[in-house]
Amino acid sequence: MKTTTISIRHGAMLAILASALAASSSHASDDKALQQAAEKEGQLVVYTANQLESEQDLVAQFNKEYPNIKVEIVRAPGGRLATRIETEVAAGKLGADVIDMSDRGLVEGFKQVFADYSPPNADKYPDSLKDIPNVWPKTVWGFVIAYNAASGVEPPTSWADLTKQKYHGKVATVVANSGGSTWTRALFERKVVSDDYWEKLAANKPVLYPSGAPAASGIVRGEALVGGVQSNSVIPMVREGAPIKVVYPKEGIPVTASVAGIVKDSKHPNAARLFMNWALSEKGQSAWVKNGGGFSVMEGAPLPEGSDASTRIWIPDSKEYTTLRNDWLAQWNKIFGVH
Amino acid sequence: MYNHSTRLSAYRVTWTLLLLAILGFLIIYPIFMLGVGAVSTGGPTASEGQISFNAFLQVVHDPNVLRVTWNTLVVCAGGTIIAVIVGLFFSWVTARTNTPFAKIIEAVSIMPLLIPPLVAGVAWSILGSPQTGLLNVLLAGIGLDVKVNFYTPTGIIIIFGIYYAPYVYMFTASAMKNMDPSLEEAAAISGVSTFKTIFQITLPLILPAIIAGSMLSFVVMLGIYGIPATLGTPERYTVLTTYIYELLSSAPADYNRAAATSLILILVTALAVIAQQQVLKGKSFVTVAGKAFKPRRIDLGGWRYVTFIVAVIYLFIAVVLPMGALLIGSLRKFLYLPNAAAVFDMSAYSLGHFQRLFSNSLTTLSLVNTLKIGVTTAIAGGVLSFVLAYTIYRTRLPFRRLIDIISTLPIAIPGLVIGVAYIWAWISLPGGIYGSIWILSLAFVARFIPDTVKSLSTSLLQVHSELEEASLICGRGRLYTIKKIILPLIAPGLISSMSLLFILAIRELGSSLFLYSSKSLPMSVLLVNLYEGGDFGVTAAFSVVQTAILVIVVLFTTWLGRTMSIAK
Repeated sequence: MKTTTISIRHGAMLAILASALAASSSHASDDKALQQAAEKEGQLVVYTANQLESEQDLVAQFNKEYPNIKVEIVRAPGGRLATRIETEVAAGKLGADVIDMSDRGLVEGFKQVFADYSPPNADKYPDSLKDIPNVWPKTVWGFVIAYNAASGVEPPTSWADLTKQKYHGKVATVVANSGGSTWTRALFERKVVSDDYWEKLAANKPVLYPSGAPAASGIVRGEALVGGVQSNSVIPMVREGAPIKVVYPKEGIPVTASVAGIVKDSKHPNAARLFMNWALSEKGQSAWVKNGGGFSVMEGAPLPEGSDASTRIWIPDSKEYTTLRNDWLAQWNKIFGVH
Repeated sequence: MYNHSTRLSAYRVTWTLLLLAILGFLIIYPIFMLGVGAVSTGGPTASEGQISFNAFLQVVHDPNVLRVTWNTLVVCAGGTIIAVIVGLFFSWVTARTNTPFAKIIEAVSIMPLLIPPLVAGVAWSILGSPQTGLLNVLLAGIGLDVKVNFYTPTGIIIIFGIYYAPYVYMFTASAMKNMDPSLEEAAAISGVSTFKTIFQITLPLILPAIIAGSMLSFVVMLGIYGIPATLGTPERYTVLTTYIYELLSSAPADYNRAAATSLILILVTALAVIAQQQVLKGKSFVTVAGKAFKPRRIDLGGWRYVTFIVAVIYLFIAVVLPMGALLIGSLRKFLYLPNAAAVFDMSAYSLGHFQRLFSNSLTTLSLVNTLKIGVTTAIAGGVLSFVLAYTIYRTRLPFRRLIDIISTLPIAIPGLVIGVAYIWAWISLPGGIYGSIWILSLAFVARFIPDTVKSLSTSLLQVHSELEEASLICGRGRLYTIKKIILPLIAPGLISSMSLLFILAIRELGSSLFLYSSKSLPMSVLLVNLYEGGDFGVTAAFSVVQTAILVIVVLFTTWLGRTMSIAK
């Protein structure tokens, strides 16, 4: 197992760096040196838009391998995190070593804070997500459909099913402008599922929720019986025995790929690098998919429990994501009668 | 004589300037930054921002804003009416009647205040959801074909009313306790009936407390997000705070329009304060004068059981139901309750969520941080608010009306918005304050000046100036007079204000959101992070822990206030 990991890393290094040939012979010892330097620093601070407990689980897996590095987490949703980062950067008081944002559009405003960084296995990550330099899809999560299994409701198999008469008044829907990932979901619904999906869903009188958490708990409580919810909150709930089940709808899963990088003036640059290398490695990505309820866009990464090769991940076009946002959200609000 | 008065006026001017400087730093400067944020693209700290008034024009021209403002006024006015009726009833019952168990009723009646609005909203959505609400499940379980639905404007009004009745109660209770009963006695001797006495003597005497309490609860309701978000969204009922939240969720967050919309709230608040000043102008509400008195309790006869039963019913609705919902949520693995029998299925209950909560290292960290922040906020804020309230209500210093208005403004700004104002304003403070717990204390002191100043005002307005004048004439200095006369007289009010401040500091979320660091994480932020993660059981368990801490604090300060009360 160990040798395979190392050989994958070799390949990656070769592909990325011109100096890889010279470096590769001493690669294993480089890893050792990085670990030692990181352990000397002893800690790092991560600013993340991932769910808190989900990130804590990931850190716990990291600490199994590197118990001497304490990872402190500041967690906030994307918009709030961006405001905080921009203000701290302007005042020269950025407190983060690693930043893990959810919303690509928001990172544009402060992409200069990231240090030059690519993980050893950089070539395993899709080129479409390399439009912003130095940041990587550390944590990817998406909207799946959950249904209340205890209620005996017939499980849907697709997003289109949610517009059927039999689910009238029983669909949980998070308002589209709750955040970046709900916008991704709405964009997916209209671009991939069908042009008039919003109108059809609105006509089915869904129960609206202000954010993902009450929607998931609404389905658990049976207030709504089916609906799209975030995988990283709902899959861990299923594992703990919630009376719900997850469906990977056949049209695909609209995902939000996080935008994570190391901060330029980081006080713990080696610890930050070690954490990022690990999180983006096969081990880190498997831990994230298994424990965090997420997906991975890394080549050869495992799929979450219950999904199979036919499960498709949908990543929005970053241009459309930004340019359509305000207009389409206003239309969404109108169609669903939010105000 | 000439020398004396110039010295005095120099002292007066310095004092006024000092207070204005403090308020300027704590309140005006952050609001100013918010104003800058409203007219500059990219926020006030952006290097290449531009000035633009588009946001204001957009807000003014948006027909949605008008409707949303109307919705807001409807639920807040309705909520205030209920809060005043309930709050007054309770302060009268506990302070002025011989209703049995008055002390217990008193301690329990402010409990709704201990639950953060978001948690209260969640608790009531568990209880009052039209299909699966616990109340509906139980009603169906006992064979009643009645459905309650709290996902309505009426639902929001009722919860607002229940939730903010303690505000009115806290204000009016100290006024009722410190009231000289001689007027009521005179009425009783002249053969005026008990109910006539209440409406013609008692109520008019405590009018300033009623007005202060109702104005404050109205203005606080304007800025609450958690309750309308959880109860209004399913039925698409939008108020200003949920509208602002939406603006902040767009990418990048639209602080321009959010700040511009918040100005509507600030304007309404300023108008409310001015209205209050006009109503109270030229009236005297002195009930504590130089004469000794003993507050009189009205003997209600058989009616005291009626008041007792009404109190119990209210407490059941306001405290037992939501706390019960939280307890059930924290003890059950999952909250799927298809029928009444499921509620009583004991095998589904366990302490698992509590174990999980305390196995998280952040829980203890946040507990310790929050207690530190709560204590420092209560002390620093209590002192500052006393100084402000004394200046506003007991002196003739210049600009005291202005001080009054400024010190009421923060309340109108929704927490979500003021949080960003604080980070914009204070991030450059020297000495590592940003990132430590001190910046959170600073924010809470600033944010809750209105609540504490107003709650102290009722105690101060009642103390007749003859008591102070007597001391001053006898040659005692003002500080000595304050220490020996004023402080002992208003000690119960001061203690209850500080405990209110402690409660608010522990609950406060909005102003913490941008200011905490990984080391200064407070409970409220951890709570909302757990909530946003969708883990309802742990969130409920944490709410129960938080409420338990606050209950202990309240019981302690109630006891402390009573031992310090001059009535004893």
